[in-house]
Amino acid sequence: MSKKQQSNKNADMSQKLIEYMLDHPALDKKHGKSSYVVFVDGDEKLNKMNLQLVESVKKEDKNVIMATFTGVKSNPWRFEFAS
Amino acid sequence: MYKDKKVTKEYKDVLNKPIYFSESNRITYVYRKSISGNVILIVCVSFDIYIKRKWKTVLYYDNVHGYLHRHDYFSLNRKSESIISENIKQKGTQNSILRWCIKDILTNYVFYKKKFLKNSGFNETNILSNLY
Repeated sequence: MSKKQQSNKNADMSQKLIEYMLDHPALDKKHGKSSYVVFVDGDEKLNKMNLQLVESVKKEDKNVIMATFTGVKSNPWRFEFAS
Repeated sequence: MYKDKKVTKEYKDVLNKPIYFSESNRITYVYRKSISGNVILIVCVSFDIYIKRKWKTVLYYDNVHGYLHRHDYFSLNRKSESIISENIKQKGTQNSILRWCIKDILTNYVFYKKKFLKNSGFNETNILSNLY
């Protein structure tokens, strides 16, 4: 996967993530001051590249949330703090 | 400038930390919501790029003066900005306008970034190597 493909896919998924967070404002309180990087269940190539992106973001912000799109209608996003 | 989750009797500002969609591109949004939870003001929706070892804002949207507009920074070297209000959504709820700003940036970020880098004196090769 090229950086262009990664960036464009992440931009697309970031939009979905923001839509979800706007629909679920309680997440603001739960997550506090954090940065986000998106992941997609089953997309190993993207996830591998985005793990590197997490490491890069952690140099600036220790609190990075890995937001994973599950595709499950009842619970489309899973949130984990990057260790 | 804006404190995270500043609480008053009438509203609070919600600051969402950046969402990184590549090592050199991120989006951040701040909005004000009423106590009942409705979006009442778009404080800032910004697109930032990492260039020359710094994060720089390329553009941001806000409607703090009563109408939605975009501030386009010209280049790395010139701090001047253009205020754009043409072809920008004005009608609808504040919630839908906020979503429109986010969608615009995430859909057109390559266009905005190319323009900014070109104005900053980058040649085609350097633009392409810094896009993502």
